[in-house]
Amino acid sequence: MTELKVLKEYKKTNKHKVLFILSVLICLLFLIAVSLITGSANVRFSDIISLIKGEGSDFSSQIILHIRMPRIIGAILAGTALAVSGAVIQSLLRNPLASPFTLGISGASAFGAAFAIIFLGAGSSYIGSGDIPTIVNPYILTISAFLWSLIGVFFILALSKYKGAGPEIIILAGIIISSLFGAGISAMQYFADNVQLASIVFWTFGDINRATWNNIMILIAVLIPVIIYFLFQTWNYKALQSGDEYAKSIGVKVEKVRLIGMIVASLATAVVVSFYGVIAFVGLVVPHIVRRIIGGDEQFLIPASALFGGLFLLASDTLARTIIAPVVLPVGILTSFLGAPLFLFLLIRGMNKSYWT
Amino acid sequence: MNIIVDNIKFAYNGTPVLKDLDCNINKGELIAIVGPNGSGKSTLIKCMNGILSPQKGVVKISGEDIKKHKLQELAKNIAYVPQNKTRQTPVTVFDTVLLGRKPYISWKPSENDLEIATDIIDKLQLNSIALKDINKLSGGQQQMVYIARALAQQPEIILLDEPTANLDLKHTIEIMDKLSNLCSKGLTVVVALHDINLAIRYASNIMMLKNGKVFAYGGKEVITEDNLEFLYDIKVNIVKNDDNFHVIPTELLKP
Repeated sequence: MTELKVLKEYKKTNKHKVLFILSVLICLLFLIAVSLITGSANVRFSDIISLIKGEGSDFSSQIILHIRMPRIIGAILAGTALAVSGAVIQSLLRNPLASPFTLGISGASAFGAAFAIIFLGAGSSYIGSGDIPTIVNPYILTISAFLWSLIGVFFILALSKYKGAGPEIIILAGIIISSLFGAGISAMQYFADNVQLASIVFWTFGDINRATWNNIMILIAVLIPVIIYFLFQTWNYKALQSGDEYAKSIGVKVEKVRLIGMIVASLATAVVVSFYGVIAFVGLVVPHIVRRIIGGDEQFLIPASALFGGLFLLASDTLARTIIAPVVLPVGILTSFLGAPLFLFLLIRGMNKSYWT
Repeated sequence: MNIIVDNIKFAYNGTPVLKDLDCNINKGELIAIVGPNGSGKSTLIKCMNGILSPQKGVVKISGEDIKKHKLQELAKNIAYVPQNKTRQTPVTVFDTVLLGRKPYISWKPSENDLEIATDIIDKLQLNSIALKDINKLSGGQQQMVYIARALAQQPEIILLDEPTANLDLKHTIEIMDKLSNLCSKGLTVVVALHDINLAIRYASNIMMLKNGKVFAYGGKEVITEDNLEFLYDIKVNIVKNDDNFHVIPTELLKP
């Protein structure tokens, strides 16, 4: 191969990666349309067109604007936040098994939610004929979940500051946090009454049904700067893949980049978990799938994971709404069902390949 | 660009590794640092480019303390080829070499960065493997790629930590020839080596480290049976052959 051909071929492979990102975007737009017309209430594509023209009926407008649209956008934003955080954390820790939940964020948030239900009067009540409990004060619960997840993150940061922000220290600190909060949740559950217990369990099912325009606005406000920050850091994250010492030798402030990256990824995850509960596997599986398709270059991996995460969670949520309609499954249950075999498949397929050798 | 190491002291968790170490390295020299395991070779190299900060003393590049420079600015002058290669996600040779341009890249590589990476890949004859995953290459090929990555920084000094470890004879000679060639073009090369014979053959000066101190530093004249016996605790024979000589280890002094 000549010098010129090498550069040409390199640019060509990069173009393929951009093309993949564009095709994910197109699939996402298509899925939004499909998701808008999918569900128990009968909404047709023509109703969406009418609504855009300002001629929609009250019924279809209500369904589209207040039920389906927030849910769709909530799913996309949550999927994006979880997947992009997963991709970044895996890169920062150079560990394929890392995910936003490796840091104990889900355990800390669930603890915060249980704490709000039992001690802060976020409480719960059974309404209607169904047995599904409703959180009386969702704002207190969300704030508590978020604050406790931050407490978890700051514990990890404090330990990293003391022992050095090496990948091993951060992963071990995450395990400590998870088991500590897990014990706390168990203790609270033991002393909770039946309704409180049901509320705690119900909250831990990740569910996009809780999406409202208010929490969507907050998610957007958090996610835009987070993604911009990550995109500006891609070359630092690429350097970290070659080891901390090498990264330092080419000018990367390793500990600072890793700590800030962890804080930002944790923040994005904590916001999602506080609003929608624990949605497992998205942050772990999506970056793996994307890496299989376009490789591990963070320059492309990060934007592609962001979009693919949105697509993955929207697809899962649409399926969760329709698979045993009219019962709507919490998407967290479905992502776990989909994620586990998918991850196993990637693992078995990868055994013969030099994948994260 | 010359390096002055002035009376540095470095300890890992209280265990001293470098003890009041001094040395001067001139521009265009190929310096081989030799010494037994744990003598401080790798630590000295890491102190020279700011990866480690000595607890005492200074390292100066062109007369200026390296602590006065930002890491990124330092990286434009000093390149480093580490000893332990971290396992990593699949990445092409081209991307690996392009990473050497990192000190010059803020958001995305410019056309100039791409051209420099392409040019170095061509000069080191890596074109045929340029788009292959680096994890799938042989040890010798990988080492050549890491040298290419260092050269992409367009440095004036290149520090290499045991670049020939685990390489066969052909690749060893290939790598050392390349380094010698770079030196003749004005680059300062500092290389930690275990193979004394390679040091004799290629280095302009040899630095012998023992217990964190420079025990002998100079041209081939420092290679004596006494010095080597003290350095490694072994008996050696030095075989002279025309202008060259070779070291043959014979027996342990302290079993």
